[in-house]
Amino acid sequence: MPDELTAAISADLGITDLPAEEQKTLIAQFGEIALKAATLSVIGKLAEDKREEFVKLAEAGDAAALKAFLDREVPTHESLVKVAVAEEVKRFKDFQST
Amino acid sequence: MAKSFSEVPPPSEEELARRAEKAKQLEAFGSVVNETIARLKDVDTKGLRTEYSNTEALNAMQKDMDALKGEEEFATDVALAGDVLAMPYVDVPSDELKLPGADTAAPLGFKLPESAAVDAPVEIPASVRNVFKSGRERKAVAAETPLPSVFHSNRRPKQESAAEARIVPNPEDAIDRQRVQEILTAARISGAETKDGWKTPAELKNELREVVGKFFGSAKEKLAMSERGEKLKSFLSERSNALAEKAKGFGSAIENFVREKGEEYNKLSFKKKLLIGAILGVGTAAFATVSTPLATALAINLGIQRFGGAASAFLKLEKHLQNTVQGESKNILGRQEWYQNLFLGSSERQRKITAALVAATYGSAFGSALGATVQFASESSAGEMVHEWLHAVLGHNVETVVPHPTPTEVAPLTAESSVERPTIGVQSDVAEVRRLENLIAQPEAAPLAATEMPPASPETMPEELGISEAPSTEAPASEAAEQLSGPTESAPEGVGEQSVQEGQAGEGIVEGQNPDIDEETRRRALESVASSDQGIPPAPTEVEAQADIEISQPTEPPQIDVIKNPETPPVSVDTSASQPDVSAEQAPVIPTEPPPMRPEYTEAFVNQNKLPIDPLQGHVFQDADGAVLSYGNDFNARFNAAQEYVKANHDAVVWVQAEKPVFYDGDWRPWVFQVKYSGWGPFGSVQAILPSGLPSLEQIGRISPDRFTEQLDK
Repeated sequence: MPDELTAAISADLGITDLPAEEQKTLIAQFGEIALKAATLSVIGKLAEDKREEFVKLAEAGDAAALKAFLDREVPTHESLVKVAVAEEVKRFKDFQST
Repeated sequence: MAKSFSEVPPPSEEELARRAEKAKQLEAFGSVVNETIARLKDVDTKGLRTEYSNTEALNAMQKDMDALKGEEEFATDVALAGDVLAMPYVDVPSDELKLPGADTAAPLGFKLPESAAVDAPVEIPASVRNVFKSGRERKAVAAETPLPSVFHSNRRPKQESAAEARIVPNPEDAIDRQRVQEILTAARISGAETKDGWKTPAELKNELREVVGKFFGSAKEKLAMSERGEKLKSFLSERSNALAEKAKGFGSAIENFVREKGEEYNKLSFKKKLLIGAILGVGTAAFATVSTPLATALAINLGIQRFGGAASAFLKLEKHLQNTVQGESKNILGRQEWYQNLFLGSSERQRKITAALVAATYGSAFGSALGATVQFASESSAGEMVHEWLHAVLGHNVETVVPHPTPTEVAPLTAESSVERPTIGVQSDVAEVRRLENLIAQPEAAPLAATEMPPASPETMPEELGISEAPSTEAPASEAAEQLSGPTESAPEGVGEQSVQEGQAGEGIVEGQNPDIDEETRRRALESVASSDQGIPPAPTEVEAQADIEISQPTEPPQIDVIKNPETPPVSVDTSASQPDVSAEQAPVIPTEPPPMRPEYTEAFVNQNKLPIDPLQGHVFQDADGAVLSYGNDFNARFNAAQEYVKANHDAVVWVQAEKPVFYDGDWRPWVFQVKYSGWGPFGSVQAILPSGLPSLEQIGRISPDRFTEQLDK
């Protein structure tokens, strides 16, 4: 399974021509970018007085509770995340083409 | 020999300082070498193959090494402060140099036997005189000259051990003998060529560098990235910093949170990083349209809890998909030709990724995973058929992004809304549960959902069900129910007993064993089963909505027990009758506020099982069927009792009577919901499981204390 996902993500990032180890390094690094970008995109849509609550819920580790919160406060959070990650992928690929 | 002790002039203060500095450099060099070897061994055996956490450390060490190498040559051949030696080395035939009393020696470790006479004179053969390999002092020392103890290390050990002494530096030139020993040992492991005989400090230094270089070289082969790779890596690092800067703009709390999540992420295994990337949508957009309702939350939480069971779920889902394409699935759904066709055109890779995503992002109930799988498949080569099927069955249009239901609005019944029931963590407290309960109790929910139902697509209904002439949603709903209530040989881990119990509720009806049950009754029961399995509240159809409208509203909810296995269907509607259009003008007024529920008992009593019960207190009981239920007249009391119980019993699921009744089947009816503990040990939380719309049939009813057999929270 990891190999399949690795191949898929490598293809999406346009790094399939790199050695496998390098691909993994970059995928791991890109994941952090995606995570940060996704998180910030959601936080950016949160009202200021809700951000602290968001942090508390996120740190509690209960994904379902966090989802319920996001559903309520940022109903479009899933789309926001996808857009944010897609932008990061595009930014990464654009950089490669320069 | 080389020079006499008396010939070494005492060093000046300046020289001592210089030497001390050199000694520090040498110490640093040795330290780097030592750590590097240890690191490289670790990296070589496991690090590189799984993690890259050592990469930066190695690069940093390499940098240090380069810096050190750039320095002036280490003064390994220069006497250090207090050494007063700096002896040149000479080639000495192995049998010519004898150390009095030294029967053994360990040159590599420079461990002289204690028996070696420290101050004993050494007889230097004439042949060694004037045979200097290097050194600044070239004056021979008379053989008779007694040597100080520090010179003993410069003597050749006995023959039997000399065979192993291929590199014998001056021990005092090395800051740490043990390090040199390790390096030399490593050199032998790595196949470094060494020569017999003595080595000058310069040679030794070169050899050490060579050894270290070999390690670094081999590591570099693995670690060094291509120029392009390095460039991309640098770009990502800069991007990461930019995002960190952006986080600062949200305040210190968010900045810290984002940084900590980044650190937490970096500690994860590559496999988890991969899954997080995948559920965030990296690399899967091209062929996977699986909506990931928990993606954000999972990713932000790093999926710690979910990933634990994801691997198992993945394996089962993968097997299910494989069995499906091979026509070997025992699952009812897997035996459907149209379903098989969905995956026949898929590659193994696509199936694997589908299984991985579904396993990673969805709840463990198979019905939920199925919803996602079907949605994924709907975009495959056979997507058109699935598209119509979904449209007909669930009112789901795959071309439309369906918003997730929020507590402030009642979402239409769609495939996505069916995938996850919204749950409320304990953080939401009683007030939040009440708020959602009130929303659920809104009688408008049913007509609203009904109006969202799409028109039928008779041509898409499976012929084998033999109900193609049924009203619009009948056949697909039945099919869905059959599929979902069928055996799930590949049900992922975590399929709860509750789902099984719920599925049993309408089993007989689902299988059509009772010929006396009319078609509409059968359809509704099927929908209930499908809903309960998939987490979908029963979808009132236009027919049902019409039925609702024709029934006048009672002022009080009925006093009924929990319906666990209804033998009679809730309503029977003649589907052959033509259904008039429902419009706002025709719709009767439905009470917006549910009536208050009156308690059965207002004071302590003893039930039929001789169990004393105080209805004024909230307590958790077990009934004759083994169900765990919270009971008490006051909602707060019973809800809190349920929470406390599941906190102490993480595996328990407690049924709690909702505070307000729900308008269901034309009447106000009490209903129940589950409270359970979710998560790992102390890191979990209490959750109230509330439906996104109307409760399912199995949740309708009142908890009766008469059936309690035991109080569990004494």
